[in-house]
Amino acid sequence: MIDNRVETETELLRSRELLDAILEYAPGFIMAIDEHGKLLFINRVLPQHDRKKVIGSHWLQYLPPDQHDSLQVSFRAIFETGASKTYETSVAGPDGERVWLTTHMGPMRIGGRIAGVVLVAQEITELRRTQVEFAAAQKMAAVGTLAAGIAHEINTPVQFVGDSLQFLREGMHDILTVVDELERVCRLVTQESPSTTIRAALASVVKAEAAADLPYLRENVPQALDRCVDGLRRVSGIVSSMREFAHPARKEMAPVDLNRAITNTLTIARNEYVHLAELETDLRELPLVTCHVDQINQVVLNLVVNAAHAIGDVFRSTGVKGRLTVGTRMDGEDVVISVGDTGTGIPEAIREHIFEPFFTTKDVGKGTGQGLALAWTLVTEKHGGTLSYETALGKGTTFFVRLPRAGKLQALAGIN
Amino acid sequence: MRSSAVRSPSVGRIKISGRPAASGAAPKVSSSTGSGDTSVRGRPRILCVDDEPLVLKSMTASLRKHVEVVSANGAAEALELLEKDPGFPVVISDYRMPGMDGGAFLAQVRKRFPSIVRLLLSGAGAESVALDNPDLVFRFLSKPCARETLLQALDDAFARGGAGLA
Repeated sequence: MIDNRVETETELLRSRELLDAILEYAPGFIMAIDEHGKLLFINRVLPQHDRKKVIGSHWLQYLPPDQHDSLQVSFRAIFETGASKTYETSVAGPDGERVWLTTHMGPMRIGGRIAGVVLVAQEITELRRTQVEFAAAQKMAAVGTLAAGIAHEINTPVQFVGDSLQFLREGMHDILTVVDELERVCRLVTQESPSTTIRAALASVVKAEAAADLPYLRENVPQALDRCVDGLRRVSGIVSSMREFAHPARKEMAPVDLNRAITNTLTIARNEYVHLAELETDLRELPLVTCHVDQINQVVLNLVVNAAHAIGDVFRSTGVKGRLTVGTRMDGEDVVISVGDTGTGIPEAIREHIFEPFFTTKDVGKGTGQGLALAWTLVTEKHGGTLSYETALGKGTTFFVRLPRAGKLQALAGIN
Repeated sequence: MRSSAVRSPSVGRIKISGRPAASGAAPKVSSSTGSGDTSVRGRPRILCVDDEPLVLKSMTASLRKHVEVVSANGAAEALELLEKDPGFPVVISDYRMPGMDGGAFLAQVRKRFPSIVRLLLSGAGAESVALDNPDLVFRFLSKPCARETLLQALDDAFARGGAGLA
């Protein structure tokens, strides 16, 4: 009898250990919680916790406080409805970084009654990041298609407005030449003691000239037409920058004139910085760089917008325009793009987080926390480059994008 | 509607000029200062094809001292016109047009009027047509195209035509 019980208990213990060992390798967290909210089981714990102490403690203390109310509601609802529920949430990871989880909560039925709740949570941070990158890529592709269409639509009127302006300039020049001749004739006729009729006609010419303010027209009409030509040239410059910037992405890397691409990007982003900062560029001579130009455009755009926001923070408090510096140079076999601002600098406390996805210090609606994270992924993972920065509080920050000139694969081949 | 509005003056012009195609030495248009030279007789004729009448009218006006522009509001109209009067040294066509596009149109011109030098003046996206078919397009000009660029291309086209390459 006693032997039997010991055997049964040994058996139970072994199967419990087996179950623990198996569940420890489940790709997620599995918790069982009793009706009072005490943890009955957890398959594993984060390194900062002790599993023995976790068992029996209240489940909510491991979840973000701002979610306690809604979790409590979901927990209670399971006892009332017996229905399970799935939701997404985020918690702080061991290093304080944000970890995204998808969580299923459902009833734990023992002997026909709901004795507690089973919670299975799986980490989906990587998936979320991929989704965000995919969405950004899709958005860029859509913008590219739109931009190409808009460029085409705008270029046709730019063509005929430009041709018409050329015609008007020449026509105006010719008309004024004729007017000069006519004026000369009028003067001659005036000297020749003309008849009363001619004198009256000459008087009406003088009157019409005065009413039209002919000297003013002579000087200002050609200038106005020149301004139109300049303005139109600017419009077509912006359109062509936009078209090149949003050029449909290629699958393969291709040799690219990076300085030209950066100039286009600065044209497009002009509105972000023009009222806040003076732009200084130092684009040195570069060989063609093998890269995904659409991705590098995206990186530079994100860095420029970020720099503009940093300068904007200072500008709003001091009213003094900052300086946005953009440069390129060769360094050995690498190309280095630098984007510098005269913003507030990056505080020590957040330095280690700035490249994390979803990390932002900006107000809700202004920053998505994707800009630098996306830049990081595109530079390091897609191009085999590095993204670094130098920052000084109160002085500003400069980001450095370092890319292997020959492209990622060639750079790797060079190492081997 | 659009087509007929542009057609009548074009056809009228052809009758006025009524002379053989530019022959002998290639005329030079880009260096012309323009002033004083308004005689129709001195100017070479070119055929411009675009579905946007405003482009045609503006180009006609802006080039008037350098070349005589005969315009056609589409590929079909241009081919019809060339059948009656093939005496053009150069044709400039837009790419994106309803019906026959600029690529197909220039292919027709090459086949039926091989001596005419062919230029493509178009918005973005048509570069590849010219790049992929160097025999089809003598030069690709991207819209918007500055007049100096267009005149230079015309000079080169006249020189090419005058050199008897076609």
